[in-house]
Amino acid sequence: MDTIKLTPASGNFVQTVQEKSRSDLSRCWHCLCCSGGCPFAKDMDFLPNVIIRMVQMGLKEKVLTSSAIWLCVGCNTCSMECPNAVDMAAMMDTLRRMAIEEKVKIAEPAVLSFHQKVIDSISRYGRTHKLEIMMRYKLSEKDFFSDMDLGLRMLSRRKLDLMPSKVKNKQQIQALFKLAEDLS
Amino acid sequence: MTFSHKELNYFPGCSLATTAKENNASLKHFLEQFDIRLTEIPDWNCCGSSSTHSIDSGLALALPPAICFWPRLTSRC
Repeated sequence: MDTIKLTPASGNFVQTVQEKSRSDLSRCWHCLCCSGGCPFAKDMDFLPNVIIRMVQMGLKEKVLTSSAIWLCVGCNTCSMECPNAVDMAAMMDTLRRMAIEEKVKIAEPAVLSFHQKVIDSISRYGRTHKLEIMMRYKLSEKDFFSDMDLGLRMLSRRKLDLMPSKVKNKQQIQALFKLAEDLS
Repeated sequence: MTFSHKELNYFPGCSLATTAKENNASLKHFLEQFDIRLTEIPDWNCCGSSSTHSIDSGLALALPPAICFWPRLTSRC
């Protein structure tokens, strides 16, 4: 079994996460409401409440390299079900951004790549073009044939537009991306 | 049932235009029963969806307000 060494420096991590996510993690009493309601908990390496405990113990590297933070889709079920109003979803957002900032090894690079493709699409058109996002994602992951049947069914039901829907005022989008840089 | 507003501006979002277009159709049809007409906000942009708040807090903050305020600022709404 791993031994966890708690040092005074371990406390910095939980403080940073709390400040960035504007959430008080010390209110968590591990009732498992969040983990019980999470639709992705069964695929995670650590349950959401375990992530809270690990953050409290200052296990920065373990948390930031976990797959759990990337498998979270941000549906906010955990935050809604928490009886103590701990904003877990905001914590997960914070941990993902910290993992990127700290340049640690990303446990689920495909998820990050997908998010990046969505943002690229917004920067190009101002809106998301789903077919293109899917194609670019498949190309970058070199995974051409999985979910092919699903994609074709969506196409046949006209759920995927062939051409992107674009924002007319391109400068507006550029201005927003510039503003976003200043904000973050 | 009558409503004081007969014409509403709305933001459909990227999904309502494509993958969830049946929801858009049913919403429009439902409101037609009350003589309410929906008009898309001019030149709306994507709200950022879950991808922006996952990895870019600035974009998550910048995109959604723009949908509400930009049409007003440019007095097209």
